[in-house]
Amino acid sequence: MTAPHGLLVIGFGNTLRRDDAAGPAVAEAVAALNLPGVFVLVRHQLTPELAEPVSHAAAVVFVDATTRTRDGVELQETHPRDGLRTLGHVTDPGSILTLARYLFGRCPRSWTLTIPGEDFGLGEELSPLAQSGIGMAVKEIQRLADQPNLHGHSIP
Amino acid sequence: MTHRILIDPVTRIEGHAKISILLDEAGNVWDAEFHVVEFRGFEKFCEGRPMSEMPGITPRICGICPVSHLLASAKAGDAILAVAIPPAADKLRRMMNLAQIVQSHALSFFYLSAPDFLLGWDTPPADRNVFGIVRSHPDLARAGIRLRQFGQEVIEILGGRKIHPAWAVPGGVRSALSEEGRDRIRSGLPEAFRTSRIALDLFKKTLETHHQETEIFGNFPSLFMALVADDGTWEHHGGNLRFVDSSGSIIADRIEPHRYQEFIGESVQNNSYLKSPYYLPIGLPGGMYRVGPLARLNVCEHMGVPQAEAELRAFKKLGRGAVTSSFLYHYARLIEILAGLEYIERGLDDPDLLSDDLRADAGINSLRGVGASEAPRGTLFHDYTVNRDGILQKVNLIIATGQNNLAMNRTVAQIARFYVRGKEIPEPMLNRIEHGIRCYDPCLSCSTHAIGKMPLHVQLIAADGTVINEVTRG
Repeated sequence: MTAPHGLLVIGFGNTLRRDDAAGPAVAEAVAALNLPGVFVLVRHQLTPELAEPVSHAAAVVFVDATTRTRDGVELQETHPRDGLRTLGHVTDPGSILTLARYLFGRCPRSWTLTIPGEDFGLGEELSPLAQSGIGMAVKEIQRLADQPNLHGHSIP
Repeated sequence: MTHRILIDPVTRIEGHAKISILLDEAGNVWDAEFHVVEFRGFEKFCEGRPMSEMPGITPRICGICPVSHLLASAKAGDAILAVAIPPAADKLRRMMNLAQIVQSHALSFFYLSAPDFLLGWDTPPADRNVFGIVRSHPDLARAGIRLRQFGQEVIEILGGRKIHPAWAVPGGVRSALSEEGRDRIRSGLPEAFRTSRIALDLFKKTLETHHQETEIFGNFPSLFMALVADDGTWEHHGGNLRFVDSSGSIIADRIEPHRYQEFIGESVQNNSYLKSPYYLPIGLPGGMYRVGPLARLNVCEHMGVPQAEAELRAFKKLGRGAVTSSFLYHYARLIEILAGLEYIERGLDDPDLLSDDLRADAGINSLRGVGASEAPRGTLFHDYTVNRDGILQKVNLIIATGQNNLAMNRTVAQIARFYVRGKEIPEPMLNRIEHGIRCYDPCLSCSTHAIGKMPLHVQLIAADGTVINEVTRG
């Protein structure tokens, strides 16, 4: 297995459902910054085969939209699930981490970064709420990428 | 979005399922209905958009098989431009569709269906899922995920790294395969072939102990429809439509896809947003047909590649005429994975794939265009009507899952008749119903693919319409 490297940013959501595109928008913005040691994936939804690139990363940030709060972006550490979440074509960060651990031998330290959204109708324009969150989320990822102790941690 | 990824239709756009099991006056199961209760309205949403945008828009119909919509949409655009696309573009589109079939079938088999027959139908749902497979067969789980990854990588190599690439366009494709990309694909093939063989051997062994499932999981006469080459060879992107009956006899052949409305009617259930297409010349109920891997193998006479050809010969021995058990969709999927890999391998040696003659330019030459392609789950139609400026006036999409709707109803009823006794709906019975639907790998992905926790609502309805029991989960 190759040595773990880099901060992997996975932005996911449906880019034709307005604020659901916040995750991909953050990932695109981070990619445009060309930050050293930061790798970006944009996905419509999380799928099981992401487990392998996740297992190779030093750390992972899953970026998604949420209606749970309107009070700014939230960064929460994410842990592997205990095998209870079922898996279909679409899955969740915890299940991806579980697969990474059991199938590819490594589960990196991970976070889920959520951006508040309010309009998930058909369309490509993001609401002001989501747009403001995108900028904050990019800064949060930059802050994470700058952490000197980020690399090398993994969850056994 | 985090809390909706599990329950909300935004990223789980395929919807939720509801099943009604109808009892007669004696309390025995007499019918079942599979409902899709979410309305998406994509066809209406597209009206007024330029036709040229459709290959960029329609892949968003589905986060699971966007390539299928991309290719069918581009083909509909070809028809509106009234052009024959360059050979290189056709070959590249074909390679992407093969990769789509490989990756989609791999997920269906290894992650969504195998837990039932590898771990046992009556295993508690908390264990009967992919994590159970990870624990009991880790090498198999890893191989399955890597096979899917291989298909996804081929798609990314061809279409670019972004999700939903508008790579196929009316008139052709935007970019060729690079030599580096060709070499990457080639390097992944040996492992993919190995996994494909492992899966085939595994399923053949499974069949030895699953006679009952083969008999009652959707085993009934029906018609089958798929694209096929004029010489009877398996097709996935070109060719014309063919219908066969359950005896294997061809009842309609060489139907150009743009004539589909002469042969396919669409009935509507008053309690489901999923239309129910049927074979129009026969009408309902006899016009029920199935599409997808089982249909494609029933409709074709040859696979056109040697390893899959040998498997097809063995497969066809399972039927008297057509193979009629929907449980054998799994087997058909595995044969198609093998065929897909063989065709990809063969195609890599074609110098056309590196050509830069990729696109035919033209204006609006036809006010209607129909594109048909074989999605992993069956024949997909995109039918566009435009004005002289290429603005869409009408859009009709016929998806594979809809075409299997009547057969899914029949499958659920068949399973329910066998397992439902009285008013109780025990979990193992729910699981068998789920699997009956899962045989078709319907693109209600989140609802029907979530093993053991499918967001499923099953009602037992008495002859007088009274709901006498219902179970909701997920």
